[in-house]
Amino acid sequence: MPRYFFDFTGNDEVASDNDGLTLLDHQAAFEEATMACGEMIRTIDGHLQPGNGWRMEVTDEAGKLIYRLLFMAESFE
Amino acid sequence: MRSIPTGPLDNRLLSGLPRAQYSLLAPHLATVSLPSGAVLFEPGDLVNHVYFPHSGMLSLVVVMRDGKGIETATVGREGVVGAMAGLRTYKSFVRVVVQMPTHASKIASDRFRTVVATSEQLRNLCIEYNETLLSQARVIAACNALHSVEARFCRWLQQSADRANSDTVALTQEFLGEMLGVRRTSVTAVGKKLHDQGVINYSRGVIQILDRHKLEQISCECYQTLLAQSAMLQRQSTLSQI
Repeated sequence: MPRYFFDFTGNDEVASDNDGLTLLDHQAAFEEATMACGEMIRTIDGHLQPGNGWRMEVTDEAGKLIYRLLFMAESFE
Repeated sequence: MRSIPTGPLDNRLLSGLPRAQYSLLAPHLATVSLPSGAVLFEPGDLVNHVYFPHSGMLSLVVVMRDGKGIETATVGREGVVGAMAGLRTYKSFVRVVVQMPTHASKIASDRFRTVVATSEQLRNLCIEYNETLLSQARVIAACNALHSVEARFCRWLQQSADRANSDTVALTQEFLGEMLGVRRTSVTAVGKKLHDQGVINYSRGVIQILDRHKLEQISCECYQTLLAQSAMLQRQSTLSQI
Protein backbone atom coordinates (compact mmCIF):
# COMPACT_ATOMS: atom_id res chain seq x y z
CA MET A 1 0.00 0.00 0.00
CA PRO A 2 1.28 3.51 -0.71
CA ARG A 3 2.54 5.76 2.07
CA TYR A 4 1.16 9.26 2.48
CA PHE A 5 2.46 12.21 4.48
CA PHE A 6 0.23 14.80 6.14
CA ASP A 7 1.81 18.18 6.85
CA PHE A 8 0.05 20.90 8.82
CA THR A 9 1.11 24.50 8.32
CA GLY A 10 -0.25 27.20 10.61
CA ASN A 11 0.78 30.85 10.82
CA ASP A 12 4.01 30.41 12.64
CA GLU A 13 4.38 26.69 12.79
CA VAL A 14 4.82 23.71 10.54
CA ALA A 15 4.07 20.21 11.75
CA SER A 16 5.65 18.00 9.13
CA ASP A 17 4.86 14.33 9.18
CA ASN A 18 8.09 12.32 9.11
CA ASP A 19 6.59 8.87 9.47
CA GLY A 20 3.67 8.97 7.10
CA LEU A 21 0.84 6.50 7.01
CA THR A 22 0.23 3.57 4.69
CA LEU A 23 -3.25 3.74 3.23
CA LEU A 24 -5.17 1.96 0.48
CA ASP A 25 -5.22 4.76 -2.09
CA HIS A 26 -5.58 8.53 -2.73
CA GLN A 27 -9.22 8.42 -1.68
CA ALA A 28 -8.32 6.91 1.70
CA ALA A 29 -5.60 9.57 2.12
CA PHE A 30 -8.14 12.29 1.36
CA GLU A 31 -10.54 10.88 3.93
CA GLU A 32 -7.77 10.73 6.53
CA ALA A 33 -6.91 14.37 5.77
CA THR A 34 -10.50 15.58 6.06
CA MET A 35 -11.07 13.73 9.32
CA ALA A 36 -7.85 15.04 10.85
CA CYS A 37 -8.69 18.61 9.72
CA GLY A 38 -12.12 18.24 11.28
CA GLU A 39 -10.49 17.30 14.57
CA MET A 40 -7.80 19.94 14.40
CA ILE A 41 -10.09 22.83 13.50
CA ARG A 42 -11.03 23.30 17.13
CA THR A 43 -7.49 24.44 17.87
CA ILE A 44 -8.29 27.76 16.11
CA ASP A 45 -10.88 28.24 18.87
CA GLY A 46 -10.98 31.99 19.41
CA HIS A 47 -7.35 32.54 18.49
CA LEU A 48 -7.64 33.00 14.73
CA GLN A 49 -7.12 36.50 13.34
CA PRO A 50 -8.34 37.75 9.95
CA GLY A 51 -5.61 37.08 7.42
CA ASN A 52 -4.57 33.93 9.22
CA GLY A 53 -5.24 30.37 8.33
CA TRP A 54 -3.80 26.95 8.12
CA ARG A 55 -3.45 24.23 5.58
CA MET A 56 -2.86 20.55 5.38
CA GLU A 57 -0.90 19.10 2.50
CA VAL A 58 -0.96 15.44 1.57
CA THR A 59 2.10 14.21 -0.31
CA ASP A 60 3.16 10.81 -1.56
CA GLU A 61 6.46 9.03 -1.00
CA ALA A 62 8.08 10.87 -3.89
CA GLY A 63 7.13 14.17 -2.28
CA LYS A 64 4.48 14.89 -4.90
CA LEU A 65 1.59 17.03 -3.65
CA ILE A 66 -1.67 15.08 -3.87
CA TYR A 67 -4.14 17.24 -1.91
CA ARG A 68 -4.19 20.58 -0.15
CA LEU A 69 -6.89 21.51 2.35
CA LEU A 70 -7.10 25.18 3.28
CA PHE A 71 -8.76 27.08 6.05
CA MET A 72 -8.52 30.86 5.62
CA ALA A 73 -9.97 33.78 7.55
CA GLU A 74 -10.41 36.89 5.41
CA SER A 75 -11.65 40.33 6.41
CA PHE A 76 -13.33 42.62 3.89
CA GLU A 77 -13.57 45.61 6.22
CA MET B 1 11.32 0.08 32.83
CA ARG B 2 11.97 -0.16 36.55
CA SER B 3 11.74 -3.67 37.80
CA ILE B 4 11.07 -2.96 41.46
CA PRO B 5 9.02 -5.88 42.76
CA THR B 6 5.44 -4.98 43.55
CA GLY B 7 2.87 -6.66 45.75
CA PRO B 8 -0.85 -6.44 46.52
CA LEU B 9 -0.27 -3.75 49.15
CA ASP B 10 0.99 -1.38 46.45
CA ASN B 11 -2.66 -1.15 45.47
CA ARG B 12 -4.31 1.55 47.59
CA LEU B 13 -7.67 -0.19 47.85
CA LEU B 14 -6.07 -3.39 49.12
CA SER B 15 -3.67 -1.56 51.44
CA GLY B 16 -6.60 0.46 52.79
CA LEU B 17 -8.47 -2.63 53.93
CA PRO B 18 -8.38 -3.63 57.59
CA ARG B 19 -6.03 -6.57 58.09
CA ALA B 20 -8.85 -9.06 58.72
CA GLN B 21 -10.57 -8.15 55.44
CA TYR B 22 -7.35 -8.21 53.49
CA SER B 23 -6.41 -11.62 54.84
CA LEU B 24 -9.67 -13.01 53.44
CA LEU B 25 -8.61 -11.95 49.94
CA ALA B 26 -4.85 -12.46 50.13
CA PRO B 27 -4.76 -16.26 49.57
CA HIS B 28 -6.65 -15.82 46.28
CA LEU B 29 -4.58 -12.97 44.85
CA ALA B 30 -2.03 -13.77 42.15
CA THR B 31 0.42 -11.15 40.93
CA VAL B 32 0.49 -10.83 37.15
CA SER B 33 2.56 -8.80 34.68
CA LEU B 34 0.43 -7.23 31.98
CA PRO B 35 2.26 -6.10 28.82
CA SER B 36 1.48 -2.79 27.17
CA GLY B 37 -1.32 -3.11 24.60
CA ALA B 38 -2.86 -6.28 26.07
CA VAL B 39 -6.66 -6.31 26.12
CA LEU B 40 -8.14 -7.66 29.37
CA PHE B 41 -11.77 -7.40 28.31
CA GLU B 42 -13.71 -6.53 25.17
CA PRO B 43 -17.21 -5.05 25.45
CA GLY B 44 -19.60 -7.90 26.21
CA ASP B 45 -16.95 -10.14 27.75
CA LEU B 46 -17.75 -11.81 31.03
CA VAL B 47 -15.55 -10.29 33.73
CA ASN B 48 -14.02 -13.54 34.96
CA HIS B 49 -11.17 -11.86 36.83
CA VAL B 50 -10.87 -8.74 38.92
CA TYR B 51 -7.64 -6.72 38.72
CA PHE B 52 -6.08 -4.51 41.40
CA PRO B 53 -3.11 -2.73 39.76
CA HIS B 54 0.09 -2.28 41.77
CA SER B 55 1.61 0.02 39.15
CA GLY B 56 1.00 1.17 35.60
CA MET B 57 -2.31 2.06 34.01
CA LEU B 58 -5.37 0.40 32.49
CA SER B 59 -7.67 2.31 30.14
CA LEU B 60 -11.42 1.84 29.86
CA VAL B 61 -12.25 2.45 26.22
CA VAL B 62 -15.70 2.82 24.67
CA VAL B 63 -15.75 1.22 21.22
CA MET B 64 -18.12 2.35 18.46
CA ARG B 65 -19.62 0.05 15.81
CA ASP B 66 -17.15 1.24 13.19
CA GLY B 67 -14.25 0.35 15.51
CA LYS B 68 -13.45 3.90 16.63
CA GLY B 69 -12.68 4.07 20.31
CA ILE B 70 -12.14 6.64 23.02
CA GLU B 71 -10.85 6.42 26.55
CA THR B 72 -13.43 7.20 29.23
CA ALA B 73 -11.49 6.42 32.41
CA THR B 74 -8.15 5.10 33.60
CA VAL B 75 -7.33 2.88 36.53
CA GLY B 76 -3.99 2.69 38.31
CA ARG B 77 -2.76 1.63 41.72
CA GLU B 78 -5.55 3.63 43.40
CA GLY B 79 -8.23 1.47 41.81
CA VAL B 80 -9.67 -1.78 40.55
CA VAL B 81 -11.04 -3.13 37.29
CA GLY B 82 -14.12 -5.34 37.40
CA ALA B 83 -15.19 -4.60 40.99
CA MET B 84 -18.86 -5.04 40.04
CA ALA B 85 -18.11 -8.72 39.53
CA GLY B 86 -17.81 -8.84 43.32
CA LEU B 87 -21.56 -8.28 43.56
CA ARG B 88 -22.90 -10.36 40.69
CA THR B 89 -22.05 -11.96 37.37
CA TYR B 90 -20.85 -9.01 35.37
CA LYS B 91 -20.19 -8.28 31.69
CA SER B 92 -17.87 -5.49 30.63
CA PHE B 93 -19.35 -2.55 28.69
CA VAL B 94 -15.91 -1.32 27.73
CA ARG B 95 -12.62 -2.51 26.30
CA VAL B 96 -9.99 -2.64 29.02
CA VAL B 97 -6.52 -2.03 27.56
CA VAL B 98 -3.17 -2.13 29.31
CA GLN B 99 -1.68 1.23 28.58
CA MET B 100 1.78 0.73 29.97
CA PRO B 101 3.48 -2.29 31.53
CA THR B 102 1.38 -2.98 34.61
CA HIS B 103 1.64 -5.27 37.59
CA ALA B 104 -1.61 -6.25 39.22
CA SER B 105 -3.20 -8.60 41.71
CA LYS B 106 -5.66 -10.81 39.90
CA ILE B 107 -8.46 -12.77 41.54
CA ALA B 108 -11.05 -15.03 39.93
CA SER B 109 -14.45 -13.32 40.01
CA ASP B 110 -16.30 -16.25 41.61
CA ARG B 111 -13.70 -16.40 44.40
CA PHE B 112 -13.93 -12.65 44.83
CA ARG B 113 -17.75 -12.86 45.05
CA THR B 114 -17.54 -15.54 47.73
CA VAL B 115 -15.28 -13.35 49.85
CA VAL B 116 -17.26 -10.16 49.20
CA ALA B 117 -20.44 -11.93 50.36
CA THR B 118 -18.89 -12.28 53.82
CA SER B 119 -17.68 -8.69 54.16
CA GLU B 120 -19.73 -5.51 54.22
CA GLN B 121 -16.60 -3.45 53.80
CA LEU B 122 -15.63 -5.22 50.58
CA ARG B 123 -19.20 -4.89 49.34
CA ASN B 124 -19.01 -1.15 49.96
CA LEU B 125 -15.67 -0.99 48.16
CA CYS B 126 -17.25 -2.58 45.06
CA ILE B 127 -20.16 -0.15 45.12
CA GLU B 128 -18.15 2.96 46.00
CA TYR B 129 -15.62 2.43 43.24
CA ASN B 130 -18.40 3.14 40.76
CA GLU B 131 -18.47 6.73 42.04
CA THR B 132 -14.76 7.03 41.23
CA LEU B 133 -15.32 5.77 37.69
CA LEU B 134 -18.43 7.90 37.22
CA SER B 135 -16.72 11.07 38.41
CA GLN B 136 -13.85 10.43 35.98
CA ALA B 137 -16.20 9.64 33.11
CA ARG B 138 -18.14 12.89 33.68
CA VAL B 139 -14.98 15.00 33.45
CA ILE B 140 -13.66 13.07 30.44
CA ALA B 141 -17.02 13.30 28.61
CA ALA B 142 -16.98 17.07 29.03
CA CYS B 143 -13.29 17.30 28.13
CA ASN B 144 -13.69 15.24 24.96
CA ALA B 145 -16.62 17.37 23.84
CA LEU B 146 -15.28 20.81 24.74
CA HIS B 147 -11.49 20.80 24.50
CA SER B 148 -9.09 20.77 21.57
CA VAL B 149 -7.01 17.75 20.60
CA GLU B 150 -3.92 19.65 21.71
CA ALA B 151 -5.26 20.42 25.19
CA ARG B 152 -6.47 16.84 25.63
CA PHE B 153 -3.15 15.43 24.40
CA CYS B 154 -1.43 17.44 27.15
CA ARG B 155 -3.98 16.41 29.79
CA TRP B 156 -3.54 12.78 28.85
CA LEU B 157 0.25 12.98 28.83
CA GLN B 158 0.33 14.42 32.36
CA GLN B 159 -1.96 11.66 33.63
CA SER B 160 0.16 8.98 31.98
CA ALA B 161 3.44 10.41 33.25
CA ASP B 162 2.02 10.43 36.79
CA ARG B 163 0.94 6.83 36.46
CA ALA B 164 4.27 5.78 34.91
CA ASN B 165 6.06 7.72 37.64
CA SER B 166 8.36 8.93 34.89
CA ASP B 167 8.75 11.79 32.40
CA THR B 168 8.94 9.25 29.60
CA VAL B 169 5.89 7.49 28.21
CA ALA B 170 6.15 4.80 25.54
CA LEU B 171 3.25 4.51 23.13
CA THR B 172 2.39 4.50 19.46
CA GLN B 173 0.49 7.26 17.68
CA GLU B 174 -2.25 4.80 16.78
CA PHE B 175 -2.68 3.94 20.44
CA LEU B 176 -2.71 7.56 21.53
CA GLY B 177 -5.23 8.24 18.76
CA GLU B 178 -7.52 5.59 20.21
CA MET B 179 -7.22 7.04 23.71
CA LEU B 180 -8.08 10.54 22.50
CA GLY B 181 -10.63 9.40 19.93
CA VAL B 182 -8.85 11.08 17.03
CA ARG B 183 -6.99 10.13 13.86
CA ARG B 184 -3.35 9.19 14.02
CA THR B 185 -2.70 12.15 11.70
CA SER B 186 -4.02 14.58 14.32
CA VAL B 187 -1.86 12.98 17.00
CA THR B 188 1.19 13.35 14.75
CA ALA B 189 0.44 17.01 14.04
CA VAL B 190 -0.09 17.91 17.69
CA GLY B 191 2.92 15.85 18.81
CA LYS B 192 5.13 17.52 16.22
CA LYS B 193 3.98 20.97 17.25
CA LEU B 194 4.70 20.32 20.94
CA HIS B 195 8.04 18.78 19.95
CA ASP B 196 9.01 21.87 17.95
CA GLN B 197 7.99 24.11 20.86
CA GLY B 198 10.35 22.20 23.14
CA VAL B 199 7.54 20.92 25.36
CA ILE B 200 8.17 17.27 24.59
CA ASN B 201 10.60 15.11 22.71
CA TYR B 202 8.57 12.88 20.44
CA SER B 203 10.29 10.19 18.47
CA ARG B 204 9.29 6.74 17.33
CA GLY B 205 6.72 5.86 19.91
CA VAL B 206 8.41 7.44 22.92
CA ILE B 207 7.30 10.74 24.40
CA GLN B 208 9.58 12.48 26.85
CA ILE B 209 8.29 15.52 28.72
CA LEU B 210 10.88 18.29 28.57
CA ASP B 211 8.89 21.21 29.98
CA ARG B 212 6.26 20.22 32.50
CA HIS B 213 5.27 23.83 33.17
CA LYS B 214 4.48 24.56 29.52
CA LEU B 215 2.67 21.26 29.24
CA GLU B 216 0.41 22.29 32.14
CA GLN B 217 -0.28 25.63 30.47
CA ILE B 218 -1.33 24.07 27.17
CA SER B 219 -3.35 21.34 28.90
CA CYS B 220 -6.98 21.94 29.75
CA GLU B 221 -8.00 22.23 33.40
CA CYS B 222 -9.24 18.63 33.40
CA TYR B 223 -5.92 17.19 34.56
CA GLN B 224 -6.12 19.24 37.76
CA THR B 225 -9.84 18.53 38.13
CA LEU B 226 -9.26 14.77 37.92
CA LEU B 227 -6.43 14.95 40.45
CA ALA B 228 -8.52 16.99 42.88
CA GLN B 229 -11.56 14.72 42.57
CA SER B 230 -9.48 11.59 43.01
CA ALA B 231 -7.85 13.03 46.15
CA MET B 232 -11.24 14.07 47.52
CA LEU B 233 -12.77 10.64 46.94
CA GLN B 234 -9.82 8.95 48.63
CA ARG B 235 -10.13 11.25 51.63
CA GLN B 236 -13.85 10.56 51.90
CA SER B 237 -13.38 6.80 51.74
CA THR B 238 -10.60 6.97 54.36
CA LEU B 239 -12.84 9.00 56.66
CA SER B 240 -15.71 6.56 56.28
CA GLN B 241 -13.49 3.76 57.59
CA ILE B 242 -12.67 5.57 60.82
